[in-house]
Amino acid sequence: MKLKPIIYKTFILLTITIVSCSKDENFTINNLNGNKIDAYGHAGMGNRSTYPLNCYESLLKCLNFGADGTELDVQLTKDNILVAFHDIDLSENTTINGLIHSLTWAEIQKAVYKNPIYTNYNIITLDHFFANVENLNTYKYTFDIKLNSSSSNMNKYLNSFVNELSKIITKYNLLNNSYIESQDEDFLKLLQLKNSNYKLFIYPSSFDNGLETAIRLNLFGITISTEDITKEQIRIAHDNNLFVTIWGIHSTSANKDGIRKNPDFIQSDKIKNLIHLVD
Amino acid sequence: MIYNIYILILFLFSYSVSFAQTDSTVTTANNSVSLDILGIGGYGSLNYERTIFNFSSIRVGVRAGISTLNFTDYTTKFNPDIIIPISINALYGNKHNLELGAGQVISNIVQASKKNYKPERVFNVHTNFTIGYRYQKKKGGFMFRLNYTPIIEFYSDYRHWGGVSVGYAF
Repeated sequence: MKLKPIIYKTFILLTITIVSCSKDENFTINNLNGNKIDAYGHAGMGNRSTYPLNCYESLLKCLNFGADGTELDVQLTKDNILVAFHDIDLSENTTINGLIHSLTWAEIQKAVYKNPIYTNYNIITLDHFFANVENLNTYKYTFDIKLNSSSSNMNKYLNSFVNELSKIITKYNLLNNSYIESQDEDFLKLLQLKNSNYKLFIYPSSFDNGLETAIRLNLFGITISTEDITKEQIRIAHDNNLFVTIWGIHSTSANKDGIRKNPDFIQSDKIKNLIHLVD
Repeated sequence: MIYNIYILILFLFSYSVSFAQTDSTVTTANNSVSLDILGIGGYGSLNYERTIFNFSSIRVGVRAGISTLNFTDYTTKFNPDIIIPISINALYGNKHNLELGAGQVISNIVQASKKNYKPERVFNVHTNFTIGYRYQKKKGGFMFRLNYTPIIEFYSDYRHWGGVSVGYAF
C-alpha cells in the first residue's frame, strides 16, 4: 500500500481545516451588560472536558483560562453544608449512593467521581472552593440551585438552604459578583426577603413563563437553554430590563450562535473557545 | 494541543513505515506501533509492542504505551497526566488472531491536594485484561485490533472497557 501520498493528502486536508477553523467573526454585541458578553464555564470546564462537573480542578481551570466566571451547581447536605454537585443521586457519577441531602458531609467526602478513568477526583464544599480561589473577587459566580430535598419539611429545607447560601456570600464578599438561579419561585422569594440586593434569575420551562415570573417577582434576569430562546426574545427581555443567561452550549458553533443572540451571559461547555470569541 | 498530537502520531507512523521498508530481509515482524482508541490506555494511547516468543501459530509480545488526560493542570501550567499501559499479549493465528492479554496500568494524575488544594501528582496502579480479535500478518504491515479490555481500577473497581487499535507491524 502506498502510504506516503495518503499521509501527504491527510496532512494537507487537516491543515486546510485547521486554518479555516481559525478564521474569526466580528460580533456586534448589544445587551444590558455594557455591550459585553460574560463567558462562564458550565460547572467549570463543562461536560465535554476530562474533569467531572463541579470538581475543584474543573472550576479552577475554567477561571485560570481567563473566563469571567463559572456556573456551579449547589446542593445542601443533611448537616447543612453547601456542596458543588450536579446530579440528583450520587450514584449517577460517584462511588456512593443517595441524595446529597440524605447524607452528611463526612459521608459525602468519601465519594470519588467515577469518571474519567484512572482518576479519583472528589466533591468539594463551596466553603473549601472559595477559600482556595486566588483573586476570588475578580471572578463572577453563578449558583445554580438544585433543590433535591430528602426531607418532608420543605420550608425548613428551603430556609436552611437560603441561610447557608447567604453565609457563604457574606463570608467571601460575593454580593456584587454572584448570581443565583433557581426554578423554584418560593426559594427566590425567600432570598429576596433575606437580601433584596441578590441578583436572582428564574430558570423557567419556557421563555414566556420566565418573562412573566421575572417581571412579577422583579428579578434580575432569566436563565434559559439556548434552544428555548430566540434573539428577538432576548431583545424583549432586555426591553423589560432583564438580563439573560443562556446555557446548553456544547460546541464551538453553538458558542457563535449564542453570541449572535446578544445574551448578557453565556454558560458554555466549550469555555476556552468562548473566551477567545468574546475577548 | 490536538495539532501537536497529530504531528506526533504522523511522525511515529512515518518513522515505522520507513524503518520497515529499509529492512527487506525481515520475514517475521517482531515490532509494531499502534494507536488505540479507548483501550487500556484510557481514552487513547500510542503503543509499541515487541514479540518475545514466536512458535508456529502462537506469538507472545510485550506491549507498552503512553497516554494522558490533560497536558496542563488546573493552573494551566504544562504538567501532563501520565498513563502508562503495560501488558503481555498472546496471539493465536496467522492473519486473523485471537488475542489474550493482561497487565498493569500506571497512572500519575495531577489533582488538588486535599491538604492545601495545590496541584499534586497522585500515583496509582491498575490491572487490565485483554480479549479480542487482531488482524496482523506474520510478515507485518497493517494491523487492526478490536478488544474487550476490562480494567480493575485502583485494584478494587471493575470497569467494563474496550478499544480499537490501528497500527503497523514491522
